[in-house]
Amino acid sequence: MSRPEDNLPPDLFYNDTESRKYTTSSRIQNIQASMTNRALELLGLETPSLILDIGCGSGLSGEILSDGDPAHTWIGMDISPSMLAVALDREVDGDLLLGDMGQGLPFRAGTFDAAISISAIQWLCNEDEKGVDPKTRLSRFFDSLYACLKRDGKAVCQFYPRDEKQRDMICSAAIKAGFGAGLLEDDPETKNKKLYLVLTVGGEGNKDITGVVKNMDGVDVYDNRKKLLAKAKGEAKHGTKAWIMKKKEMDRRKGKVVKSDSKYTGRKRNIKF
Amino acid sequence: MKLLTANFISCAVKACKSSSLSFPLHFKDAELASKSVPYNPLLLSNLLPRLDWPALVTSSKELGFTLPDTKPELPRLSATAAAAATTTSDGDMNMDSGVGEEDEKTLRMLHKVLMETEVVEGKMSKNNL
Ligand SMILES: C[S@@+](CC[C@H](N)C(=O)[O-])C[C@H]1O[C@@H](n2cnc3c(N)ncnc32)[C@H](O)[C@@H]1O
Repeated sequence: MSRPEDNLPPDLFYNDTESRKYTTSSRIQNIQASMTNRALELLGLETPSLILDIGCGSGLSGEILSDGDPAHTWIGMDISPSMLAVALDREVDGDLLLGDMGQGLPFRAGTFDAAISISAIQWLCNEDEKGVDPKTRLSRFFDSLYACLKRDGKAVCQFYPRDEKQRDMICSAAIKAGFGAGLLEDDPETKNKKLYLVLTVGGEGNKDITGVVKNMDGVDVYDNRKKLLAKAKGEAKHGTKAWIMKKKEMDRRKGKVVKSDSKYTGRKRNIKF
Repeated sequence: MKLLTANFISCAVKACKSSSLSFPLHFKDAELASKSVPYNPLLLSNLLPRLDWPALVTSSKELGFTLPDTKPELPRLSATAAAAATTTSDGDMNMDSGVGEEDEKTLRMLHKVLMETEVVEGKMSKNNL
């Protein structure tokens, strides 16, 4: 299937005709609504919050935020004037801003309780018309997102990477910005598979994404530690100290009770009588 | 645009962000509209600490209304108080329990200014332009 992201810049692809077509399709309405509900579930907000919707389009995702219980207040940003015009026509509750997330989000530090982005951030993997490369755009985006979230804030981005390379490029940009990051895949191995990047901002305890996504099926914790672990996995020989440390770490993360590490870990013990 | 949003926007240009002149953005030739939004005291009390009060006073003045010079103080409303609250048919939250008359007045004022007042037409610019 050809991807619109591979052919045109977003503001040209989402022109007046396409924006209307997109918004009035009941199939699309349903998919966007269910993904937004999933994102809300992952955010787990208990009180009415201020949420940023990045790539809000015509408001299909945003309206789920204001219609739920508790009802949230949202601000949406999108690069396509046509999409925003449709949102205005539909009189959505959120305030709308025209802007390119790849140039950074224009908000004061600590503004939002949370952020969502539904089916939008894969667009950052393209150069913009000025030839600014994806890496720079991704880091501007994630750096500014990190800054405009509150210290215990969270963000969930559902996105459609073209391939693993794009997925990894996006994830590592998020981690580099300072986020704790986890990837969640719903309906894996099917053509309906959906990928969610779950991000948490600092604050002790919150940094560890495993808390956010624990007990969820199909969760892949994606952070630097995991990479280090993967590396260790490749090298550690069965029975060596490194191997034991790795195994202990994995058990620990599964929530098992594990003996603390010491200089005796992995040593041969003499039999005593 | 709501005054709420205006209070949180700053210029995205990096070199600009650190300059005190870049915030708040200023309204010119603004045309206002008022939109009815469900009253949500819990959200307002949650937002109050994050507001830049002097900036809100400035923006309000540019649009023709006056706010107190100092940020009003509110008890932090709790989720339990909200759970006890009822929701009216138009979506308003009724906080019969726990909110004093003065606080209620403050909350209603914040609601009107931040959530219900919209700038529909006009220009926004930085001081240093
Ligand atoms: C598939 S639509 C999703 C819209 C909405 N989130 C929804 O769920 O219906 C993707 C949106 O991302 C927006 N977008 C793409 N690149 C963007 C960028 N660099 N900055 C802001 N928005 C962007 C597009 O204009 C489009 O409205």
